[in-house]
Amino acid sequence: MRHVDYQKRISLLVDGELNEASTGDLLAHLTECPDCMRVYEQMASLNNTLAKVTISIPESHLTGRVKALISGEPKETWVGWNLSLLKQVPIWALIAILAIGVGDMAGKTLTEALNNEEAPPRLDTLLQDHGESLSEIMINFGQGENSQ
Amino acid sequence: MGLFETLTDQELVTGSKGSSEQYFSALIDRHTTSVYRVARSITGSHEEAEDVVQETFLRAFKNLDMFDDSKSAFKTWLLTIARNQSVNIVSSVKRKALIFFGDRDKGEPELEFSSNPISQEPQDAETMLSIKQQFQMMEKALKKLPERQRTALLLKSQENLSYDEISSVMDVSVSSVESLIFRARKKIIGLVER
Repeated sequence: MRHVDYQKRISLLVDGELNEASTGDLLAHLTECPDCMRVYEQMASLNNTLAKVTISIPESHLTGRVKALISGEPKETWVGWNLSLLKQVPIWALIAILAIGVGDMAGKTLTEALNNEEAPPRLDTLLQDHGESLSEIMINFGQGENSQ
Repeated sequence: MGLFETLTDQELVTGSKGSSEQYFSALIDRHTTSVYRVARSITGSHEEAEDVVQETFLRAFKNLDMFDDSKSAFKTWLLTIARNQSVNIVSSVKRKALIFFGDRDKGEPELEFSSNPISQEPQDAETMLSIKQQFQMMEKALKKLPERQRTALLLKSQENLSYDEISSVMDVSVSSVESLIFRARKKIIGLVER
């Protein structure tokens, strides 16, 4: 095994993350290798220093501010979730209105919609109502054609 | 010792889910310092670290119902949120602009040191001064580390998380954690020895 591999194991040993079998092998190596022993001492010393002294929070009442922030904050509940959906009703209403408006435009060409042209006359304006039934209208219509 | 101090994180989380703010307040008391340390080590800024602390607990409070203690410890989950928030801040466009224009870190409070509660040994004033000087030297070296190496090393040495927990917080494999910590140590030792 190369020195760098032993040194990686030293890092694990310092953190207590090395298994028993590998620990025994490593400790045996350290007794024979002054370079690796030096690395072990350096890593252990570094770990010791970092563990002993830590950054503390400068006086700023941070926990108090966090608690004040939380106490004003509602947690998401089933009711809250449904209320948040209800708040979206105006948006959906607007979309529905727009859709109806667009649907009203449907059947017109874009030019017609933009120019607001009159719609072409529909059938019931072509056939004037004289109180006749549909069959009478059709018979009269046919007689009129035959006479041409 | 107050009642809440005797309860485990799991018990406090269960109480918090029952809409009791007192239980969640106890979690805040217990973990604010750890969250701040992680945030400070990543952002390098006291002000941004405080923002991260507030945002982290706010998100944890809002999403507490989704926390599953069978998948991870509460502290691990909390530090994961803190790390993600910190990384977001560091990579934000606004922050980069502030750095470019030199507006960041004006009037930053000096770091204050105290005995780590994880360490069990009592320290006299002279020893503490010596350790403080060593730490200041190391802190300069820590700042030169890439963020991931620094975060992994501090999560191990100061928060005493296992490699599994660190891999969960940082969303990397355990072998990556091993590698990050090893390289961080080698680099600091090299810098301190110069």
